Amino acid sequence: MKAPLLAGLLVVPFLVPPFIGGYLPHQIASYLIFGLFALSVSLITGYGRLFNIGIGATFGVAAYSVAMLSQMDVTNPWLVLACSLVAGSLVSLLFGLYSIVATGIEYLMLTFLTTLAFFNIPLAAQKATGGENGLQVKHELEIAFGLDPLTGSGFYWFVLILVTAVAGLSWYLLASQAGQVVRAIGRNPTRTAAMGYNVSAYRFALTLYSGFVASLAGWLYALQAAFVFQDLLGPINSLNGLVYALIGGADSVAGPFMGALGLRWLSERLSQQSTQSSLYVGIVLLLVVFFIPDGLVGRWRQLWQRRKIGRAEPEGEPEVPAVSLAGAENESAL
Amino acid sequence: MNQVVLQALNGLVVGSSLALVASGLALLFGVLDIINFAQGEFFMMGAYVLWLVLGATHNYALGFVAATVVVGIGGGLMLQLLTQPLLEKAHVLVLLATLGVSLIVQQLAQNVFGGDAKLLPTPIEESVDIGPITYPVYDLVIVAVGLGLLAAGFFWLRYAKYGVWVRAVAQNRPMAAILGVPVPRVYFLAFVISSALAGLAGALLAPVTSVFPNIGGPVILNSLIVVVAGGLGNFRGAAWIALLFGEVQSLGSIVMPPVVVQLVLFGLVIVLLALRSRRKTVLVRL
Repeated sequence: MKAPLLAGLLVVPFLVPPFIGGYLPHQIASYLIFGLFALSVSLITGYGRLFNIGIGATFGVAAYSVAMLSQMDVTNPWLVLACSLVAGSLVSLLFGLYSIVATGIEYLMLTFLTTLAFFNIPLAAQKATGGENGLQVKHELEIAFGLDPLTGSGFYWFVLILVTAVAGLSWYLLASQAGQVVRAIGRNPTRTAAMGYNVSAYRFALTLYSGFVASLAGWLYALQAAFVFQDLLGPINSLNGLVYALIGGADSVAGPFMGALGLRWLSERLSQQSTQSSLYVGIVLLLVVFFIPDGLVGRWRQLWQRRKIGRAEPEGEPEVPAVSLAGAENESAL
Repeated sequence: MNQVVLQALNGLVVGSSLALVASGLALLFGVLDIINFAQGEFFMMGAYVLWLVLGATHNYALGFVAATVVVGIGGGLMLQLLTQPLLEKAHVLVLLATLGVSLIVQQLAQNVFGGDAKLLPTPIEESVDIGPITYPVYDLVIVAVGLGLLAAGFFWLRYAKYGVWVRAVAQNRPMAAILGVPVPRVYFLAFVISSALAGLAGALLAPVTSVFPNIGGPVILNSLIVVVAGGLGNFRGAAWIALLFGEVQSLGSIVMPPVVVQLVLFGLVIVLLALRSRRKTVLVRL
């Protein structure tokens, strides 16, 4: 019963938007790309409990390297992909180092300062990066494996397949032995260290993997938008990713995608009617913090659990406390 | 030579006003372990309050007092309201809440006052000769007020009853509560003082810069850097680093483009914080 339903759910996004056509596939592809970005935030923040508010730097560096390579007339798509991932990973190497030397508020401030520093780099290197004006991606067809993001469904399917694969891989990794250790470290690093696991090594690996996901998102973004600009590197983009992840539920794989879809759709709709989008983002942020700190998925899980417990006999399974950012159960929570 | 003296004085102006904002942030972090991202918006509100008062009365002294009191009480109440339900939860939520408030206040200021920059006349027109250059007196007043308040804050924390209580709560909250320190009152005091400092700094700088809704952006960034570099929650450290930061930025801009100076400062702070964060200290230290 469950498997066919799941398969059906998976098939729908592959068929329906291209069938409807028009602008829809393009729009959904952009939501998926930002969902991927939010997933990388949720991996590190939701599961690893390392409060990274600078992951936009990874995303932006990956996107910028696509644009800069294309400006140098590099048209081999594989080379562009590889360079973009390597550049993004170098930034996440930096975050990895932070995760070794710092936790809690210091880690947060380090990541914040890093994204600020990267935000300023285009201004310091005007010529290579285009400065405040941003940078155009040239040869966008060649470097996107010949898929046109604007017409047809090819690029949409490409994004969808990639995103599904990465989401599946993330889910698999989190369910694996190593993923369980990462979660345990998130909940209580001291206890996990006492059990003999190398906390720093697991945190470092998680940071690198999340950086890989963010770089992939940045690469896809550059291919689709064919334009990169300063804000991609800075705190605004980083915080957007965090907010998507938090709204959807930072400790799930599906949550970040739901958050990105909902919030981007909302802000696109609102910005068509008025210029008050930062007002609405602020209000949404407050609503999330005060009413659904576990995100939509977390809230849904809570309700689901309550229903199950309500139906079961008193000796039914004990309520597992949801892993949430709101809980103050672990010392490293800020 | 003239250039160096001029930039050194400019650095002092930037540094002392930055020190007011940053020491408020440091105090708040020391007492409650929270970072207020809306501090830049409190700075902006201080500037707007001065502008409003000037429009009505042309009285600068009244304007500065009004900016301090209005922003102090308003910001204090708002922080109290925000943090009250979140204190038992992760402190990151407080941080995100203040971030939300900062976005909202910025947009509201844009809606109410418009996006244009409001120019304010300087309250003291005269200039004095300092060595080879002439320098506006008002800028020197900013430095004097800033440094005076920081010194007052230092002595208050050291000797006054509430100052000692603030440090006690920062050092060990449960123990302070057991020994009879009224912790909620100390919290509220920290909220009010840190907001008031930002409001006053905004009002003081308004005649020099001008007033517009996004004025708080660079302020909060610089003061966060300063607070981090000064040792989170370290009142005196924040003040010293703010002065140093102002000087480095001003003097550095003689030889390098300002953006490069900024990048170098970021790099320095990141290294400093990374080196230091191994030993964890969150106290209002003196």
